[in-house]
Parts: sequence; structure tokens; C-alpha cells
Amino acid sequence: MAQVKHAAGRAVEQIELDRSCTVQELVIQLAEGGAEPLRRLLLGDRGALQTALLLFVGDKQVSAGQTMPLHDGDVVTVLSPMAGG
Amino acid sequence: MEPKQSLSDAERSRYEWQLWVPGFGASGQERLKRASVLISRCGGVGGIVAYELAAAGVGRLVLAHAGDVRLNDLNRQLLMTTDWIGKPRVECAAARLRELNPLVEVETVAENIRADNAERLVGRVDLVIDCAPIFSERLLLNREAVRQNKPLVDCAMYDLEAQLTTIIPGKTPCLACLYPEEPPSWKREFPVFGAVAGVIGSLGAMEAIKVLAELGEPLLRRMLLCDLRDMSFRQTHLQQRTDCAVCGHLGKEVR
Repeated sequence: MAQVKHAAGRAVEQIELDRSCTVQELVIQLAEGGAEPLRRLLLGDRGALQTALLLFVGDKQVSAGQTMPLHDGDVVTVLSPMAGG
Repeated sequence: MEPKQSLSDAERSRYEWQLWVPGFGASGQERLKRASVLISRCGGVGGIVAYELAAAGVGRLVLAHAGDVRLNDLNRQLLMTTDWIGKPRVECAAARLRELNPLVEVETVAENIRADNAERLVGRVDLVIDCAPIFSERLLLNREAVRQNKPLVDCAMYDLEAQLTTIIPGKTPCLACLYPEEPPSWKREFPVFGAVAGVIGSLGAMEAIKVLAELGEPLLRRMLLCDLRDMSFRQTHLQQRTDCAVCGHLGKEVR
């Protein structure tokens, strides 16, 4: 998560949505509205989410192919890939 | 039926404090003694894993790590020493482990995990621990561990953060469920303190001991996330990918 925090310039952000969306749609929206380092980290060349991001709603992972609409008060965590050894 | 092996007086004395652990005892120690573990790179994280497993009395450790000790390894690779700079990392690590516990058999392989050695190295052990700093090696090791139905403990760190999960093929998501492709954003060199390696290496070693000795509850289908900036530790529940190219063909018991 440190890479995402660094690219976003913040660790936590509270967001109000105009309409219901999925967690993937939210992350794409944040990437497109964010600075270039965040966009590069979260999105691939074609504007789709990077496949290796780990997304969580609360403590449950939402895998790439899973559609999960967000609800009021949900906490979304975005983890960039980590392989340091 | 398990073969009967009794611990020597020297072993009972060396491991006395852990023999007192409820649910472990002599039978747990004998399981560790009979066990073998492959550690993919014995640098920052893997060095700590290896040190803890040697101390605990895992019977045979296979260390796979290429290259020579460099000065900038020494903030985190605690098995390496200044006088070994320019000499093979894996031999330096093995020397330290043998000093700590001469009862443990240490095998050295001065190679990183590659397509042409993964099958052979995984085939020599009961459990593998993934501590490599690049995804290509991690995904290769994962693929081979799943193919050979071997448990894999995956430990990783970055900055002041670390994560850990234990993979049992067919029962949990595998690493390729989490990272179906090699992530383009990851760089082999990254910011980190040795103390972060110490935390996640110790936790990874504990997971290996638990799996081998059938002790406690390993982190199956869960990932532990550690943020040492604010000392927050949380568990997340991982999802299977039914379309996983590596383990999708296996029946999963994922909850």
C-alpha cells in the first residue's frame, strides 16, 4: 500500500459518490482523477485496472472478475503488488 | 504410521524451551526434524526465515540464492557479514546457520529460482518459502509448488510494510490467483529497513513451523498486512480465481 499512498499523496480519502458503482469503477475514477504517478500505478496502457492490484472492501478481497457494488460506509483498500524479500 | 524417532539428549536440551509449547512437544519437534524446507533467497526476509528454522531444528534447509555479498546487502541481510563481501551469499548464510545449529543439515544452491531448476529444488523438500525480490521468481516457484502439491509460505516487504500468506494447493488461492501476470510496476530494488525483514521473516518462519508441526492455525485463505509506520496489523480474506492458470483446475475449499 505504501506505493499507492506515495503516488496518491495521502493514505486515506473519504469519497462521496453521485451514483452507485463497483469497487473497480471507483478505483478507475480515482486513478483518472489523480496525479500521473497514481494513474500509472493503477491503470494499464489501455486505461483498464492493472491485473495485479489487490482490492479489498472491508477485509474481503474483491477479485478482478468479481463485480461488487459499493455501499454507504464501505472501506476500500488498494494494495499495489509487493515482492520485496 | 509415522516412523518412530526419539530425540537425543542434546536435542531435548537445545529445544527445551519450545518443547514446553502446548500442542508441540516431542512429537512436534520430531516432525520438524524430519522436515525439509526450500528457502528461495536467503537475503533480508529469507535470511531471517532460515535463521529461525535452523534454531527451531528443521532437519534440512535448502538455501537457493545466487551472487556474492555486497556492502549494501548488510542493512537487512543479517546472515551476511562484512568479512564475506565479494564471496558467495549462500555460503556465508550456511556458515552462520551451521554455527547456530550444527544438527541441521544445510544445503546450498548458488542459484536463484529459474525455469530449469524449480522442479528439482521444489522436489527436494516438504515446504517452500518464497522470499525472492522479483515476481518472476515468485510466480515460477508458486507454479512448481502447486504442481508438486507442496505448501508455500509467501513473505514480502516494501518500505515499512509487509505481507504474508500460506498457500496449500487446492485448498487456498495461490500466488497466481492474486497476481495473474507479472506486475510491471514492481522494481527489484526498493526502500526498506532490515527490521521490516526481521518482522516478516520471523512471521513466515512461524507459519512454516506451524504447517510442518501441525500446530495452531496457519494463514490459509488469509493475508496478514503489516504497516510498521503505525504498527497496524490486519488480516484480509483472499478470493480464489476459478480461472487461475496455475491452480484453477484444482478443487478449492475456499470459504
